[in-house]
Amino acid sequence: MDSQDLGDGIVLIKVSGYIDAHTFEELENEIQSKFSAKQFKLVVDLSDVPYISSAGAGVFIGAFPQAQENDGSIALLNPSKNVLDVFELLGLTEIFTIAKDVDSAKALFN
Amino acid sequence: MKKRTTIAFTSLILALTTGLFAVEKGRIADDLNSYQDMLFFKENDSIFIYEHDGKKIKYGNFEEDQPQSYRNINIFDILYEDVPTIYESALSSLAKKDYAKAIELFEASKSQKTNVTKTVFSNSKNYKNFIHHKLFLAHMGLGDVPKALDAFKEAYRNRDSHSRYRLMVDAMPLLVETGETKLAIDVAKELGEIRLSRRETVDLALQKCLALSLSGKYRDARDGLSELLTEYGADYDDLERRVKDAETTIMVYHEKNYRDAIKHYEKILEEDRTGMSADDYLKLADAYVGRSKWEEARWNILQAYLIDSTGKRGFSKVYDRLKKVHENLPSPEGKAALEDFMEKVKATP
Repeated sequence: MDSQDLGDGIVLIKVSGYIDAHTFEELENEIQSKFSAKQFKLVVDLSDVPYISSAGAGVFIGAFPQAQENDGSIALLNPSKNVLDVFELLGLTEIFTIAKDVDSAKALFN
Repeated sequence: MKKRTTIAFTSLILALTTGLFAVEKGRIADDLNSYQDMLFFKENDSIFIYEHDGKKIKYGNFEEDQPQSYRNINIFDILYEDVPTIYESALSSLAKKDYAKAIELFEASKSQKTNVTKTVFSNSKNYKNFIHHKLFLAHMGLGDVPKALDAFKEAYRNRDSHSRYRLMVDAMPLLVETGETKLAIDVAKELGEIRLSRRETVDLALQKCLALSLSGKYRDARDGLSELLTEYGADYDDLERRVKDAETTIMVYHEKNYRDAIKHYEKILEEDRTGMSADDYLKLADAYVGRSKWEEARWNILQAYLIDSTGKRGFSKVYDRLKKVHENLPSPEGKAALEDFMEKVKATP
């Protein structure tokens, strides 16, 4: 999992592989470490995530109020179709902004 | 209201199972839900269904529930089909445990082409797809093991059943008893996969409730959680705790209903202090922070630490919260106690 400062307090987190019961804590810790560093504007790149389980979706559901409470948000970048299907079925596309590229993701925070 | 919620939530489960696992698990998707192969019978203004064992139950009202149940599920292609009354009579006999009569009527309904008086809607191919599953149950009821086994094999091989999961669960003892070892192993493996998938479906439904709450639909979220517990609570030991956890998350972090959250936890504390986990204490602390009750917040944070001082609960994640509480604590003693704890948290990797 890599992260990159996009400027203006926005951070890009790049996730690869499955986000499931075995791996969700890694993502959770990464997001929490950003929050601890007062970085609440997150763009999570999901283009290399072929599958997300309930545990993975739970990470985003759990983190979102915390980001919002601190004037931030979480944008999802380029999720694969399978991941997008899960987010749509859970109604999360109404909550999280889905962006197709980094620039449009950054623009969401302005 | 309850019925509407029930139907909406059943639809949610259905959508999750058929939709998600079609994505993730392929064919298992077809077998997950006991309602997967459900026929919906319209009688006057009501919709009825028959469970796999022939039990007839009212599903809802046609005008108000049918559009609500299916409008939002585009993955669910509703097919209307004609079903002979003899099939319903057979189901009725099965439910009454009149197995001989049920077998006679099911066999007859296999080739039934006339006397169609019912038009029902269904997501299945044909009512006839269910017959071998029903015959299996009826032969089992009569104790006719060879015929039950034949009917099971037919239903299993053709993947035609009211609920493949129920079919396999019911057949498993028979397969073991009759020495159908290879088939028993295949069925056991498939059941294992389905059980895992069912669990994931339940977990997804729980996350769906939290997502509803995030959208501000608190009541729908709570109704969904309640429904989830009613439907699946007996199957999963930890579900009650997880549902309660979700309910308090909704109260504290989504709804910011700190007053009710505090009341809720106070009640638990009065009844049984051991019912509180480290997470509960932290959540209660957050509710007190929300009400600017800093001493109470401090006390509960420390309680959480007492329960789990290993750092497994991620106390480092709550360092900001600790600082906020610390800044606002009125008493120097309280501040000092918290400072000590904060040092420990800082030292925790």
